Amino acid sequence: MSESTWFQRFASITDATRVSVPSDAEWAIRRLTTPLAVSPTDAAEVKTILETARESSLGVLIVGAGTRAIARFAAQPAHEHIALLSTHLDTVLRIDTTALLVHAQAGVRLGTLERTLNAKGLTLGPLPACASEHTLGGALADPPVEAYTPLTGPLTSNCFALCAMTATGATIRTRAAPRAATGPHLGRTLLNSRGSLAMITSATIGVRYVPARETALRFRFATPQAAWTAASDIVAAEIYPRVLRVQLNPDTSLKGSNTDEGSGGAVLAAVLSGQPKLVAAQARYVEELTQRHAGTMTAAPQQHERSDPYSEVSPFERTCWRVSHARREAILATLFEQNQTPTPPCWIDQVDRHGANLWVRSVGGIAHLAVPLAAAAPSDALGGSATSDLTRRLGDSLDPDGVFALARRCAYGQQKENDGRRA
Amino acid sequence: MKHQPLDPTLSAALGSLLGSERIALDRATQLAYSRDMWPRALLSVHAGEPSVAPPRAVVWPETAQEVQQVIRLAGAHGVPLVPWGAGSGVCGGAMSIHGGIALDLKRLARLRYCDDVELLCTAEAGFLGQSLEDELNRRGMTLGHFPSSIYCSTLGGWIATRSAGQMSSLYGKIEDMVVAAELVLGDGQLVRCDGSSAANLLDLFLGSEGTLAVITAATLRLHRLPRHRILRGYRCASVSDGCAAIRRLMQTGLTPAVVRLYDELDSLIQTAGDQRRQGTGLPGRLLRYLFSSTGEGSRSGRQHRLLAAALSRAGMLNGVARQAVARLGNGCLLIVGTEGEPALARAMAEACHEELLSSNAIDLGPDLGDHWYQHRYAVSFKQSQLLTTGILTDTMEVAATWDNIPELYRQVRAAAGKHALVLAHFSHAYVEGCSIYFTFALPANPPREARERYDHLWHDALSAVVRSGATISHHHGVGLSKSAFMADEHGEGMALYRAAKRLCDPRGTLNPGKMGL
Repeated sequence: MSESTWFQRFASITDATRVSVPSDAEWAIRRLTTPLAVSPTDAAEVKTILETARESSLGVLIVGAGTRAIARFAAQPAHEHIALLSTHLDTVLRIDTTALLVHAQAGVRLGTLERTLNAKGLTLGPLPACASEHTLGGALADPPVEAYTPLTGPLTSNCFALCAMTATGATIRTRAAPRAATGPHLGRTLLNSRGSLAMITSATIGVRYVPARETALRFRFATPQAAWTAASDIVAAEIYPRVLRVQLNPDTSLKGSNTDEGSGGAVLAAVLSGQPKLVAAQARYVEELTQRHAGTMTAAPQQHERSDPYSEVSPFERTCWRVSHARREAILATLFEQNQTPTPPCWIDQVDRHGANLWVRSVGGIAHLAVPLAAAAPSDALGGSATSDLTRRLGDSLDPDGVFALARRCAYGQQKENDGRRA
Repeated sequence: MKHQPLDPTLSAALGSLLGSERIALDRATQLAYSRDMWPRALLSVHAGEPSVAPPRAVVWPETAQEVQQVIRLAGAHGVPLVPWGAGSGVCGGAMSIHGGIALDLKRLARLRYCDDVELLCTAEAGFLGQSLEDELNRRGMTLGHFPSSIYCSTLGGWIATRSAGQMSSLYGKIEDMVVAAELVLGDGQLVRCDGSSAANLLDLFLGSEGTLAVITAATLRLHRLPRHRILRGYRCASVSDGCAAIRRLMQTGLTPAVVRLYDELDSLIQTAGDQRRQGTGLPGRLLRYLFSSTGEGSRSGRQHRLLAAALSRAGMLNGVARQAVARLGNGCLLIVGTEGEPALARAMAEACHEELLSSNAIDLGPDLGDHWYQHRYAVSFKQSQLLTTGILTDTMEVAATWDNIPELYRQVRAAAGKHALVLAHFSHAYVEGCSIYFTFALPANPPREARERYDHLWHDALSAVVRSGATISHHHGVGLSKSAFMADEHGEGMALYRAAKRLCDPRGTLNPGKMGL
């Protein structure tokens, strides 16, 4: 069947304006190699498109904003595929101000969703600037590690219901319940599945009131070890700030960095958010706690701590490891003591009671750090084992015609690499 | 009950694997493992009809590798296998409806790893709840999971049913605590899931009630042991006022550990012993007599029989009880508790207190809160004894978002109230909604009629839950009792569950006949 025949076929499902043979410029953005892109507006159209693809032995690649597609699908031969764009699944369906839930289609960009909520005094929770371009579906199917704060947890943990469609057209629709015990959490199983099991068409996300009060605090410590210990103690005391970040060796090249504080040492930044009296009590406790580790409050908290000072660092110029608090000595030794070359700027963020994300600015190359850090990072707790085969077979079982097979190859290929490292 | 022996080849193989002391084939053991705490099974025993298909053998593996071998042997012989923790489930999930083998995991009870900096531990599935908590407390930590069955339930059982503890508003449910799980699939393969796979396999296994895999160990998130706890009672004018107060509390961003609102009838029972609240009078004392575990009930068979007779006219009894509580005007009891570092627990308690007073709740002081805390595990273990006086009690825990809570409460009371006396409390509060824990009391005689009444009660109550858009279980699980409603709950999503079942347990060895599969 020729390209124009396919065009007509899909145009009869949606309409001609939502089927495209994208220009080179558009492909340059999304880096896809499919000859055709279709943009449905609702779940019924998604179902018909998937049926058509299945009957015609066409593969389907689900694409949101294209922010992650670069890594996932680049250079994948996808001639017998169509791209299913969620661009037009962009309606905020309902904002429930009683249960504080928003129900939106998968193609809504997080930034747009946040602005819509803000107009009603609500927020998705603090999202890093880089997350605002992600679509809701993309952020659930392939969560960016930055979309996490100690206060709200990852965005995925605030997903209370979703609607997704398997390649065979079965609709997985979970009930919006705060919690349940009705067998496996089928909706959550699809989170992180990267379009390999089903297409998320809409989701219900928990939202919060824009906080009544925020207090920004900033402390300087003599050593990165002391600052990191203080950060882990804060969350261990069940204080969950909106921002909790430790600049292990502050990067003075960043916009807004406080050069008046002098150099050396590490800086802990915390932004507490919530009920005013509680925030005041937490701030006092954080101050006491940092003093135990010889931290000193710096003159004035920096406005830029409220967002992410590292957002100006390109995603291609930073590398991230999940690290355990129990391993901090080994990790810091790897970074600062055993290292013969100057340590590049590094910081910990996305802190929880158990660990944090260690970020290293990698513009000058950090190959010399990668292996020792990977060796120092893992916890002694139970880790995952090789399950790529299990996940692949689950996908094959749900999608016997292989409509999402390419997505599975990409997703499980990467997982297999992880499995290999575990082995 | 017919004694059904196990295939001699299989029993010999199991004996050789585990040794004779870790396999039981006798009738008494079969009987002991023939049912869990599902009240309907108790009714069947009461009717002289215990399980027709008890397990033919009970085995006690000590390692995950032994679990693998037992599962492989069972699969090879086509014999079903039911994982068994402590048998405290109330939905029939651990009942062996096809005979087979009961796989008792209580000997897998080691703490493999525990770190007070990382605040993680890896514990084996057979750990009894309180034993695990004691072990963690000795190291200055807590799991934060306190189900009322904590003395008679296991870690594996909690994970398999997605259990909740009484302080879930602060610590979350068990699924929020599990970082990774070690599991044995139906083909004997050992896997470890940590949520980092390309599909969130961990969430596929949590709550699967032994139908996809047998949980052998899990890594859990821990908390530092709280150094201070504050509990307080409040009175709200009505259920709707109380729910609104809780909703505001949670949505303001406060995180109390305990939030429990009792409806008017349940409040009467909770406070009937309080001398300062004489107004509760006879109805309160009678109802408390019926439901509490303080022991008074054992001396009053006559009163129980009277109540049993009244329960046979449940519709009328509910109407009378509702009118009585309205006339007494005692409102609804609300218990709120906070815990943590002293300064923070106090600040949280003060913030909650302020918020509740601004919602027109009336402060009743710390006594009722402390009383609740001291009796928090005093669930009635006297169900069998109560049954002999002609009364059966059962509970149903469902959950909904705040916008659905009033309708859920109304619909379930209307549907269940035709068959049983209905009371309820609202607990496990979250920002988005909460759980409603209904308690039903119905006559247990004559036994066969009672079973019919019981089945109608559950059918009508669960249908009301589905109609109101709520979820059919918050933390007890599904097992057999809610199995028929799984399709209503998940719709076409069952295709994913079935695909996972085919994949993980191709021979159908694990806990067959459950969960609507």
